[in-house]
Amino acid sequence: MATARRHTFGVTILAYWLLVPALLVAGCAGDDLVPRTGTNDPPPAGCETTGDCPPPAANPEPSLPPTFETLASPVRSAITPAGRLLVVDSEREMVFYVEPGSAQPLGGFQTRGKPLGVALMGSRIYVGNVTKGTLDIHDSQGGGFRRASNPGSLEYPAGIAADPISRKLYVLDGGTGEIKVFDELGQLQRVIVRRGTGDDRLLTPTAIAIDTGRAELLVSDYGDVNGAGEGASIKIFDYEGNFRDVIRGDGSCGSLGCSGGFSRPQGLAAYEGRVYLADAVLAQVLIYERSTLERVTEIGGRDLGIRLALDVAVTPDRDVLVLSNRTATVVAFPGGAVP
Amino acid sequence: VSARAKGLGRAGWVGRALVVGLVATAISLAPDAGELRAQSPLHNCDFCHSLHGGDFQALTDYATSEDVCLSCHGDAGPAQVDRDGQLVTVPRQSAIHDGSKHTTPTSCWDCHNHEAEAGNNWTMIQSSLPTPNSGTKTVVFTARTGTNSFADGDGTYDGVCEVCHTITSQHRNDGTAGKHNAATDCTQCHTHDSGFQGAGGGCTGCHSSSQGPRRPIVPEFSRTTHHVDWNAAGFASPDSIPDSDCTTCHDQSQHQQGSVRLWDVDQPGNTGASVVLTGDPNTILAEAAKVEAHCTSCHDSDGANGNTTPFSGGATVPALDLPAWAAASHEGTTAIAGCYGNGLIGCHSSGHGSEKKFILGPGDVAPTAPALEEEEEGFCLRCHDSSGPASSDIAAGFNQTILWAQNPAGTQSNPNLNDRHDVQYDAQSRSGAVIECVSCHNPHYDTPAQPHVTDPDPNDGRVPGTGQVDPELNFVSEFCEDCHDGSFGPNASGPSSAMTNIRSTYSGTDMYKPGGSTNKWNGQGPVECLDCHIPHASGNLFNTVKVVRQPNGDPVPSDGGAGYTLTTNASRDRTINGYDWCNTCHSNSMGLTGMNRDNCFKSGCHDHDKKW
Repeated sequence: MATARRHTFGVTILAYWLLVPALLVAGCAGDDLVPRTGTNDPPPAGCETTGDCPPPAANPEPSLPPTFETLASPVRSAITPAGRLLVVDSEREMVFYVEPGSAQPLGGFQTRGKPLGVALMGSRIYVGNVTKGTLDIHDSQGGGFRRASNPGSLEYPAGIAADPISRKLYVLDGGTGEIKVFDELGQLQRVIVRRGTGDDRLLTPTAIAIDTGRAELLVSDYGDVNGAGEGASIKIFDYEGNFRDVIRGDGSCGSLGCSGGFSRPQGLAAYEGRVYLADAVLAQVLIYERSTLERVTEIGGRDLGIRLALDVAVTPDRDVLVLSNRTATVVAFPGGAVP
Repeated sequence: VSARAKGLGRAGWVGRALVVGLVATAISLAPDAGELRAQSPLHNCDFCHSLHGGDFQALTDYATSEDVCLSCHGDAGPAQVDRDGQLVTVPRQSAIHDGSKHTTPTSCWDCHNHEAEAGNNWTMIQSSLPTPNSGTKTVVFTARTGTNSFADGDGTYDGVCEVCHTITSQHRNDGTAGKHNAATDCTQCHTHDSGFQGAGGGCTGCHSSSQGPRRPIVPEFSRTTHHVDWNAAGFASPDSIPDSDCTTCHDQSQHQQGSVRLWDVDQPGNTGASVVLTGDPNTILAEAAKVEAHCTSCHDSDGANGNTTPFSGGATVPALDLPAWAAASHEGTTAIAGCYGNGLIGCHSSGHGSEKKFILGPGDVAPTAPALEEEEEGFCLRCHDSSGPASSDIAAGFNQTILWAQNPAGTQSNPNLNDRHDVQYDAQSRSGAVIECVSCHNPHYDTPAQPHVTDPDPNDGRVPGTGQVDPELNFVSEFCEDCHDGSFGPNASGPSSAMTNIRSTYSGTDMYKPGGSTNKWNGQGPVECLDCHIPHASGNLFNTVKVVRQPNGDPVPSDGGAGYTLTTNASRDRTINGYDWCNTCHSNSMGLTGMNRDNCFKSGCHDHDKKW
C-alpha cells in the first residue's frame, strides 16, 4: 500500500516536533527551521537526511467526477484522509473513489492507458501507467491529467509509495525489478534497489508500500516461482535502498508438509508497527509484527468472499480493506487491524 | 476476523512424489516444441503446486486454481518471472471465456489443464475436454495455424475453439455452421484478453466493423461532430475510445441479445430504466421517440448523474432547460420523434457522430460546400416545407429565386436590397450579411405561442418587449428592431452596405401611428412590422407582404387576392385595382384621402429613413 496513514503521519509530526528542539539545542537551527504549519513548497534538498523537512500539507480529500462505472478489475489502492479508497481498475482503465461497502464508486477518472500503481500525495494522484511506461500525475480535485514522467522511465510501474515528508515517490518497476525514486513532479532521480537474487535485491517484485514512521519501504516479491531458489518474501529497505529485513513466506515445514507461509504476496500496508500483506492465492490478509517478523494472524479467505486478493489498506478507524479482484469488490473488515 | 488459511495446510508427500515423477517422465518423453506445453520447463510444477506448501487437492477447487493462474497472469501479476535463470514476460490473460451464450461460468481450468501432457497440446490445453453438452471430446492443439490449430476446418472437430460450440454461428463441433477463417490463428481476432470476443476486446475492437445487422460504429466517431472528444483526450484515433465512454450511454446488460439499450444516465446500474431499442431509430419514428428519455437524462443540469463531463476529452454536456423543452414544438409528437432521427423524424443523428454540425441527421450526409445548407437553413426547411412534417411551409418562400433590387434609386439604392432574410448562401455571398434560422429561432424552446427566441441580440442590452421603441408596439416589432438597429446577435452580421437603422428612425416618433398618436392605423392601433413585412422570404423587395391586410386580418379592399409584386424600387411595379403597394393603404382603398399615388420610394420622398 502506497499510502500515508494517520498513525504514521502522526508519528512523523511528533518526531518532527521532537527533532526541532534538539536541533536548536545543537545550534543547527536557523530561521529556515521555524516550524511551518504545512506547505506544498518543495522541501529543501536533502532534508530527509538532515531532518530539515517541513511538515507536509495535509492531503485534501479527493473530489472526483461522478461515474456510474463499477469496479471490474481492482488491482491497487491508496487510502484517503477520510478513510475511503482510491482504487485502480486495470480493466476499466480508471481510478475510482470508493466508499468501502458500496458497490457504486463515488467518482473516478479515466487513465491514459492501463493503470497499476497508485499513490495520493498532496493534491496529486500518482498513477503508474503500464501501457505507456510512465508515472502519471492527476489532480485529486477533479481527476484532471497534469503531466507524465518521461516515457520509458518505467517499464511496469507495479506500485507507488509516497513519502509526504520528503515529497519523494518510490516506484516499483516490475519490469526492471527496481525501486526508482521520483520527485513530486514525476522526474526520475535515481534507482535505489535493483534486480537480482539475495535479500537485498528484487527478483519477482509485485507491490510496494511505505512505513513513514520507520522510514522503510516494503516490497512483495514472488521470488523464484520455479521453487528452486529463494521463496516468496517481503523485503524491507530504508529510503536509500539499504536492506533491513525480510519476512519470508516459507512458513513452518515439518514431516507432513508446510503451513503458515505465503507464495503470491501482493499489496502491502504498514500500520502501527505491523505489516499487512494481501496474498493472491490464499485470498487472505496476513498480519506480521514488524519488529519480530512473526506472523500475528490472518483475516479473510474465499469463504468470506475474497478472490485473488491484490491489495490491502488500513483506515484511520482501524478497518482493514481488501481488494478482491475476481469479485470486483472492496471487502471491509471493520476493526480488523490488530490492536 | 481470524482464520487460518484454508485448504492449503498439509502436503501429501507420497502423492506429491508420485505426481512429480509422472510429470518428469512426461516431460522427458515430450518432443521439443517451441510452444509452451504442459509441464514443460516453461511451466514447472512448482509454479502452481508448491504454493504455501499447499496440497494438490486445493487445486481441484476452481476458485483456487483460477486464483493461482491469475496470481501471475492476472492484471497485477509480476511483469516477468525467472525461469531457470532466464527472465520471461508473463502473458496477461485475465479475461475468462464466459460469453452470453454460456449458461454457466467457465474458468481457466475448463481449457487449460496439465492432463494435456498425454496429447502434447500446447499451452496446457486439455487433450480430453469435458464439454458442456457434447460429452467429453478429444482436443488436439499443436499449432496456432494450419492443421491441428484452434479450428482447422477439417472434418474432425477437435480444435480447442470448436469442441464445445453448438450454438455459435461458426465452427460448431458438428460442422453444421460456417467455418470462417479456418486454420488461422483465431486469437488474432478473438483474443484471450477479451474473453475470446470477436475482434480483440473492448467495444471498439468489435464495433469498428459490422457486427451482424449492426453497422460499423467506431468510424462514426471520426465524423465532423461526435460525442467523445477523443482528440482532446489525446487518443490517436477513435479506436482508443475506452469502453467506459461507450457504457456511459449503453447499457450492456443484454449485449448481443437483439436490442440496443441506453441508460437513464441519472440512474446508474438501473437496467429497468433503460431505453430498449428493438428497431432502427433512424427510420422508425416510434423507435426514435424512445431515445429522447435517454438524451434528456444527460443533457440536463446535472449531466450524467452529476458528471457534466462524462466522456474522455472533458467536453461539457450542453444542458437543456428541460421544462422549456417539454413545451417546445419540436419535442416529440406523433409527427416527429424529438431529439433523435434522420432529420425528418427527429433532428440529431446517432450520438456517435455526424458529418454535420451539432450531430444533425442524417449523420452520413456531409453538407455541400460552400453553401452548407444541409446543416443550416436546408436542414430546417426539409421539414418546414409543403410536405411536412412541420405544419409551416417556410421553404416555399426561400425556394423562390432571390429577387435583388433592379432599379436602386434614391435612398433605396442599396444594391444588397432583396426579398428575404439572407439565410441562404447565395444571398449571403452577395450581400455579406450573415443570418441563420437559429438567429431568430431556438429549435429546443420555441413554442407554437412563441416560435422565436426572446432576445435575438442579447449583446445590446435591450430586450424586446420592454418598450424600447414605444410601449405601444408589440413584441414582434420590438424583436425586429433588436437587430435592425445596427447591432446584431451572436453569429449574425449585417450586409456590406449598411441597412437602415429602423429603431433610430422609429424611436420617439409616432410615424408608425397613422393619423397621429391618437388616431393610429385608422384608429385601430400602430403599424407593426409584420403589417408590411414577413420574416422569411416574400418575393417582394423589402420582404414586404404580397397581400396587404387590414388590422382585422382581411386583405385590403383593393387586393383582388393575388397579391402585389414589388420587384423594383418603383412602387408602382404592379398595381391592383388601380393601386400600387403603398397607396393601397395611402389612398381611397383605405378611405384615406389626399395621398400621392405616385412612385413613393423612387421619388426619394419616402423610405424608412424618413419619418413620413
